[in-house]
Amino acid sequence: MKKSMLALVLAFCMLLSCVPCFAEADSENVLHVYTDRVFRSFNQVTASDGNFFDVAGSFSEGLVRLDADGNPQPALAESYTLSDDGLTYTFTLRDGITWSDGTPITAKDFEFAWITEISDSETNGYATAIAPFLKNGEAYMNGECDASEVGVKAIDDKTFEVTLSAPTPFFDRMTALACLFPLNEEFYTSKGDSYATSADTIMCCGPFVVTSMDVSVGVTMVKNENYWDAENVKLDGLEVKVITDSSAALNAYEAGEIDRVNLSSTDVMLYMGDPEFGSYSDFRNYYLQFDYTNDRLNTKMRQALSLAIDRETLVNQVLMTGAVAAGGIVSQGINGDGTSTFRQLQGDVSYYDPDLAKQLWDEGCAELGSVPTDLVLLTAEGTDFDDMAVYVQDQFRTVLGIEVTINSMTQKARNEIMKTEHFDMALSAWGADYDDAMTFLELWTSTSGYRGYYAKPEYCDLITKARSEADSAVRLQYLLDAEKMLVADDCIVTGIYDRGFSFLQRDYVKGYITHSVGQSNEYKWVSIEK
Amino acid sequence: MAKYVGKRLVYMLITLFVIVVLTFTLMKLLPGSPFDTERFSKLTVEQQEAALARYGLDQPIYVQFLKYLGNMLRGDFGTSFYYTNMPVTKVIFSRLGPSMLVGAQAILLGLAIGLSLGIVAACRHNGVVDNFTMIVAVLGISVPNFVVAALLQYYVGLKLGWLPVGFWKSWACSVLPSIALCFQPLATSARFIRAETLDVLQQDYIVTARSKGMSQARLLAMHTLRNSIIPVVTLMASMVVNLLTGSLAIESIFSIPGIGGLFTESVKNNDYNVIMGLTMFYSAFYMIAILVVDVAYSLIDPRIRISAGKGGE
Amino acid sequence: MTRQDIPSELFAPAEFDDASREHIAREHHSALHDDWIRLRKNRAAVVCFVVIILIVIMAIVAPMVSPYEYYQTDYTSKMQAPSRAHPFGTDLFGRDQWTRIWYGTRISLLIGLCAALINLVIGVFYGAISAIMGGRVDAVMQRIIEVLVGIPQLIIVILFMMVLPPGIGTIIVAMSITGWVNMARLVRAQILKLKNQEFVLAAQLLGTSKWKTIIRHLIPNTISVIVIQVMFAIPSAIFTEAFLSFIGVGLTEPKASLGVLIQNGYSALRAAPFLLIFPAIAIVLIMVCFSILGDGLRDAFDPRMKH
Repeated sequence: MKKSMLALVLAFCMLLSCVPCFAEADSENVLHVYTDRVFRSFNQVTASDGNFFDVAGSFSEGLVRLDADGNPQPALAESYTLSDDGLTYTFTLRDGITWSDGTPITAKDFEFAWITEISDSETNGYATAIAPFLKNGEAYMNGECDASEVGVKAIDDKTFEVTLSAPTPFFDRMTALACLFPLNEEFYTSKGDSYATSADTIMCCGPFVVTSMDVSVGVTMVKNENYWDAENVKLDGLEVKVITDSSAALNAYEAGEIDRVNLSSTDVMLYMGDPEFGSYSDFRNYYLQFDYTNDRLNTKMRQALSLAIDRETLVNQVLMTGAVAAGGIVSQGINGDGTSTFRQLQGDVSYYDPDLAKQLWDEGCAELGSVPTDLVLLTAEGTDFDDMAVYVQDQFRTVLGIEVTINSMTQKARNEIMKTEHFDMALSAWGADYDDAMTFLELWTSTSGYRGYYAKPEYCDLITKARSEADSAVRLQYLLDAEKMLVADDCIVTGIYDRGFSFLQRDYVKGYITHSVGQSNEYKWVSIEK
Repeated sequence: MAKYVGKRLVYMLITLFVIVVLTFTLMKLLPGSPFDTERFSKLTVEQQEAALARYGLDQPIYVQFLKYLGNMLRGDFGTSFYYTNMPVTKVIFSRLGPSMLVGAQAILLGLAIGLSLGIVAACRHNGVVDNFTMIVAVLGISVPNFVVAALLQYYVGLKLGWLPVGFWKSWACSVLPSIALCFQPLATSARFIRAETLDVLQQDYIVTARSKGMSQARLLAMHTLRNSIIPVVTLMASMVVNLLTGSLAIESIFSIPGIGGLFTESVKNNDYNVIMGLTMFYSAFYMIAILVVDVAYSLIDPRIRISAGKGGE
Repeated sequence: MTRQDIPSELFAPAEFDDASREHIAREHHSALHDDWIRLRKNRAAVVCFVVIILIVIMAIVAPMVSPYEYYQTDYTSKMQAPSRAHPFGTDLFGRDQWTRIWYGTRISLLIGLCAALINLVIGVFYGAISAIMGGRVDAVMQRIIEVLVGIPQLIIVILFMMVLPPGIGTIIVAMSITGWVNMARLVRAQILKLKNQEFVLAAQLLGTSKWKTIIRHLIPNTISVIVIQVMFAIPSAIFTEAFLSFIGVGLTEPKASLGVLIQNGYSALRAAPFLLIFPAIAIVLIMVCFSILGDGLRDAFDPRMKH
């Protein structure tokens, strides 16, 4: 018996010896932040998640970097010029820029990275988003032409030339996206699948250098002394932890373990008015998608459902996270003609009007000859969607007197049902890839169920014309008309709100920048002033 | 004995096979392909087919199954759909450490407190400690561990600020989750050892020893404990199982990068390969735990002898 | 040794009175009545029994008489602390927690009861058939059980929840897939034990038919085992449901089970701790009462096991 007891004790000791290695403590001048989901990948070629963009902008860098106002500032490129026809950008790289191991960064590194990104549309998250902008980009992505024909050229070590497929006024901003950062071909290919799985298998060229990285634990970085702008980097280090639970994150903030935390709706009430409290909204639109082929709902009924949602109460009373009521499918802050936003020019096409809603609903039902009683609202799991779904369901009940069933499932499952089957309505969201209405409006040219099987010829025509139009005023008018057709006239989709964040941030953290597109959190200019 | 273990192992393999078939079927029934649908829907039909082919998802189901089975036997559970290019085994093993640490601590802590409480309770039958123990035992198995975890996190971790929460940074971070998980083993072992000790104390040889003037302490140490503590081994299997499942909720509450959290995440992300790998891992672990406990028990307790004939009943 | 004469008149023939011979001084009790008397002596169990009855009544009545519906929102009075109008406060949507908790208790109890009943029916039939048929049938059925026992239940339930459409029925079905195994094993063991006991052998010797033996002797003597197992199966099903809802694969809004309420309460713990505490108390109360009542029943049914 003694022997067996000993064996048991030994077994326990063995278990205990598997103690995982914990991250080491660090000095004062380090920013601690968190991300609310695990990283899927640290490889810029395949990654497409927001939390990756945030850290990638810290350990790497592109041709430009967006400043506090979202305007592009030269980064690894010293300067750039745009040809008169608006089709060719010529970037000149800085002198003396190097990778963390001392290898110089050349225009070749950009050419390799860009070509690699658009080489495989299946695995590379942004291939389909980038390729259409580049000359022959889509052809190369589809294997119809050679890489040498793509409009991406390293003229010499310092000069990088990009030829676009159509004039794109906002293209220079796009080069701040992590998927267009440089990659050293030799290093990247030598690491193969293990590239960017640990600090040893990644080369850095940004303000910070990675010291440890783990998809489920987080990333730690220290200042990159070889960075061209090192004098403007005030932090000694940066730590991004994975904390998936929102209350755990708030606990961590209260315990002094992180310097900034996003608040959930329920916690906002507690901290409003706190000097550390702040909020902002970004360009991610949460919307209600209808099925264009569904004959249980006609246009009037869809319009009624859209009018029945009181968006102001939702954002101010329920969400309270700084979200703003949507006026359409294009986010509130999206640029219009340079001086006014798209929304200011368009006015609201999604809004609340309970009386009109009731009237349209009754008319619609009368035209259809039946009242649908078993409507289902598809939604994905996750706090964002859960609260919105309960709210929308309640609005339909109180305003229209109809009972809809919420069918909540994993996001993937929800998407799959929308893609392959017919549905009544579904809650969904889309975040802008760039600051232009096109990023939203082009989605509904797809025949996918995910876009409600819309793809109406007149609509697609407007989008195609806008794409090739060189006159920006005419182009804008096409887009305004398109949104009106999509949201107001056909009401195949209706915006509900633009995502917002309420956060707490330590008063000694200065220079923290948030962006509405691409890299959401910018750590380069943060300083800690205790 | 060898025959008995062999027979049990055969059953284990059959069970594992049933589980593979079951999980595989369920995963195939699941709506949703493992691809990021927002982006995936932007691809052309040819591109979508190519992507499915890359993961072998275009072949008939039985071919996919046989392939999966073959690879599994070679220790290859495929690559994660969620974590780019990460083999499932690597994903699982990288998450094993924290779960093991928390689980082992919870069992040790639970047993230490539970056994001491139970023994004292039995010796002072119907006394204050006894009543207290019974209350703890009932509460321990009745209060859901995620409720305990949430309350501990809020009051001890936050209001009192004694221990860190929501990180995986130092050993101190593992204390609260271990405490949250220890109540179940604590309650079961306290209840069990109390009953066993009471039982032993009524045995004739104890009465004899007592009548011969043996002191209470000596009596406990020499005769009672040795006999009452052995059956506790049988509890280990159910404790291990409770810890496995308990960790599903606890690990996401405390943000521990362990396999319980990985399972819940994978369920949300439709990461089939990781779900199947983890299910196999959990099942195998569970069955091995039961087997080891049964064998260990027969070795420790001379009263139990397993023969191949009736062992299976 | 002298022999003492005892006068023969001192001897009188005894009276034969069948009634007094067979007289049992104690009141006659059936086995179940006996159990009931023993259970009544266990004060804790009786209290728990009463509490369960009260909870059931409240779960049925409270949502009906409440001025609010469980889904009724009021955005002007959200997340309010307990007050006269809302004894348990209100949630993020201004819904009355009092109504929601009792409604949630109703759903949780319903799930627990249905799951336990399904386990009971499958388990009893399976166990009884296995034990009564014996031989090869028993062997095969036992092998199947041995395979099923190795399956970690919660994991499989989660997988089923992912596949099937959400709803109360799904949860019950998912939990029933492997839940009946314990019941089957217990019933089989009990019947096997009974089959070899003297009173059953005696009944068979006296020529009682097989079916009569089963109905008159085997089933009544197995009821105790079944009842105890059901008493433990109900809270276990309630717990499983709460667990599933907590990790996000359970019921959907606006339906509320205790698990959903606990999950919602947890995410609002800091701003409104009462949103977690009240449903937590409710679930703990239910679990504790069933657990103590189950123990009490076990002691009552099998006094020899009592420590």
